[in-house]
Amino acid sequence: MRKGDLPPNGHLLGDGLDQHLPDEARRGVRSAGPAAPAALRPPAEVMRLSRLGRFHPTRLSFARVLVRRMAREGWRIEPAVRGLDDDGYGRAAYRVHTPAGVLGFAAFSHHLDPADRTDRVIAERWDASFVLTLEPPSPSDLERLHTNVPRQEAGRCGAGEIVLSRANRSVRLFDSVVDSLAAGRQPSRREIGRVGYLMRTTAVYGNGKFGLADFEEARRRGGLTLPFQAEMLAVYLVRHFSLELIDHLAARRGRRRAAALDRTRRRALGVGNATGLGMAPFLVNHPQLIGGWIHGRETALARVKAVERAAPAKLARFRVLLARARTHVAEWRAEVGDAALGRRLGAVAERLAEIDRATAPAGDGGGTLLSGRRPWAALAARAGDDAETEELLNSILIELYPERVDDLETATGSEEREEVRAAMPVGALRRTIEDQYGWALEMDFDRPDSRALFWYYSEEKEEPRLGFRYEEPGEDRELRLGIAHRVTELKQALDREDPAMPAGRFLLANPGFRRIVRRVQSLEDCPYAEIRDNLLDRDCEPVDMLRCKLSMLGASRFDPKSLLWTRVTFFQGAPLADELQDPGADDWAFATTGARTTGP
Amino acid sequence: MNEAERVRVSLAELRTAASRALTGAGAPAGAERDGARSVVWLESRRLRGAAALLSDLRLRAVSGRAVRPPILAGNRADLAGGPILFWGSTLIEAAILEAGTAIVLEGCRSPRALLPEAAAQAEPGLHFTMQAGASRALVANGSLTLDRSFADLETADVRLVAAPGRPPPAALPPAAPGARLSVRELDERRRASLANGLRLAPGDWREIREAAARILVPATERSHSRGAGAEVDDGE
Repeated sequence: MRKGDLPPNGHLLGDGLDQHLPDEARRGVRSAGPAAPAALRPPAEVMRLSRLGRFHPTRLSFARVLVRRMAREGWRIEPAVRGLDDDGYGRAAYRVHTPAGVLGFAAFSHHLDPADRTDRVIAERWDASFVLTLEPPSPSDLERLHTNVPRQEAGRCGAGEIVLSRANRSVRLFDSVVDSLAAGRQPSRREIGRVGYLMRTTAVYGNGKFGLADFEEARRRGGLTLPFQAEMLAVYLVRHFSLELIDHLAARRGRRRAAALDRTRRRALGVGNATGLGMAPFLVNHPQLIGGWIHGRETALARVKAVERAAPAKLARFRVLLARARTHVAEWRAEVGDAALGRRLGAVAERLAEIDRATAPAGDGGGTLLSGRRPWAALAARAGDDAETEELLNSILIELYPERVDDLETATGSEEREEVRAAMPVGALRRTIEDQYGWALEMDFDRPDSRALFWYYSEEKEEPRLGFRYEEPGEDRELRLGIAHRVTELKQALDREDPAMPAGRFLLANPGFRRIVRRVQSLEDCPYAEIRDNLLDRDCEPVDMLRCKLSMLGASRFDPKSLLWTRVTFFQGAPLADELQDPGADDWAFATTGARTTGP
Repeated sequence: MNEAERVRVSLAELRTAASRALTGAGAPAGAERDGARSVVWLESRRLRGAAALLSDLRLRAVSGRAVRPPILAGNRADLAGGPILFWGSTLIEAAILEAGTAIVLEGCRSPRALLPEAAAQAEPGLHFTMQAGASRALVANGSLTLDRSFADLETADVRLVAAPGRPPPAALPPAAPGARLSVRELDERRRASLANGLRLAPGDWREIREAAARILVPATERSHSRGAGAEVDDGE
């Protein structure tokens, strides 16, 4: 079987190979959208950490795709169990009506000693825990879930459960919002904007972990066909629960004088998330999946840049989105703790102001920037060498043309098929490395700093961690994420062999190269699969990898707390459960927290 | 063992644990993925994948020797009773390179572990036959026919052939009713495993997880406080 072929009977080959594969790709059907122009950005430009770490969410991000699907298919969320006490502790359950059936969601809210409140994976207690189920849980199911779900990694899930999660209340916002509402006042819009969420998830588990149903089964029974759709749905429901919880607490405390949180403020609240190093191994270990996501994003961008002339309605829409993006950046910049990101956002604000002037019909440029041929390509060039600005503009461009890009949302799965091609001659393998991995071969691995870092799983709850090779124990158990280094070693070994020797023979004598040979062979047609940086280098900044993946998921308001973990917000500005069918429900890009985002 | 006493494990869980366990047992980089895939492929079809894994893990635990790849000389491969899950994919690839010629795998443990790798490599123009004594298996693109006795073999000399083209109609001799497993039956088993999960003996699952834990790095104060980039208390 060669790459690109699909087995006529995937059932025999199914284990672990197609877990991220949407039905369209399984059938070998590709997008029927407009043909992509050839002008995709080169991987050498896109696949650097300094670029991936500047990505912003787009309308193709999974959270956006999910909300569109919920709206399009008329999903409904309704309460099934309300069992919270005066302190908000207890349980709640919901039914999620979809065309594929009725899913369930259970939330367990607990007292948490403030001393136990941490976002680290090593935590063992949380304010709330959640489970998404393939069917609404029965009373006996709820009892079993209540025994296991709050224990998270230490509990066991069953075949009917598909996502496990937990969250902590925001210390900065949760109680103050309850206090305000209980007193009959709406909470400060500024404070809501400053924090952006009532609860913050610290893990969202799916695909069979801790006994959950396998992705393939969740897809078959739950209709959650695209990668991370189940996980994103769970996060959306955490938001729904957090908003209901806050009203419940205010009503219990304030009784008749209590106010319900108004719609504008509700919409301005998303779900926080704290993300650490766990996402970094994922990016390296699923290259075909990541390559597919980025290829889809780049294809969307290329389609928009190929537009010959901008229609007046598109120009007006651009001005709306630009204004919203400027407010979004200003709010984000005001709260971000990381000085480097703060400086970058300052530069973005200046560039966007320049672009605003240059694109205003009555501004400095008299709107000429967008009046010529290929206006959006010209606009993108205006960002110059500032990747942060350029990627923000790219997200605006993709937002502008749903009719040109939305068909790509189903192309986010991947066959994830890697097999050794034993007959490939060593000489051909060598040429593939020279063609595809020249960026790696140029690195100097004799420099000690080039291998200063090593990645590993800790004995402490298997938390992914990063160590210093020359200073800490554990190198013998490192995760093999140093692709550049390994491919360089492979090339050196291949150079010593007869070019006519089949790769299979080479591997018989050199079995330690199996993984990297298979990777090189399997990624020949995946230009965006490899991160073109050295992940072992002392100067590597893993937070760039986290931002790349989080942007694909749809996170915004990146707020790095170190080079190794970041806080983000999901679903801020997203339509509420009873707004999914409203006109314009999909228009929530670049959410601003002061007001609803629909309209200018 | 009573079915109710068994532990329910998802396919993904077993795959991850098997992959880590094989890494911890010294599998060459990349072989652990193939081996773990084979374990899940077999176990989800009730062909004792976990037993094959445990057999290899126990072997590695007592041998302590450096991992030695199979030695291929002429049309014979001396496996010396080594861990099949380390080498199953390599052996199937070796058969592909010798397409049309039989390779005899001497001292092959859990010969059923060759089936998943053959299934992964079978194409419309390539199929595999395996024979150990009177027990046989045929793996073609999208189909598999298997003597029940082949699935039960523990250690045997296996005659492996990768043959070009589609299998001839009588690729396997007739067998007594019920002596063979069909692809339909195996697919039904897999569907049931996906729907309900795998059922493992608690002791077996514990042993696999303990083996998987060998890849974990003991925590130090430094790794605890700095390895994940955050303070231990990283709330707000």
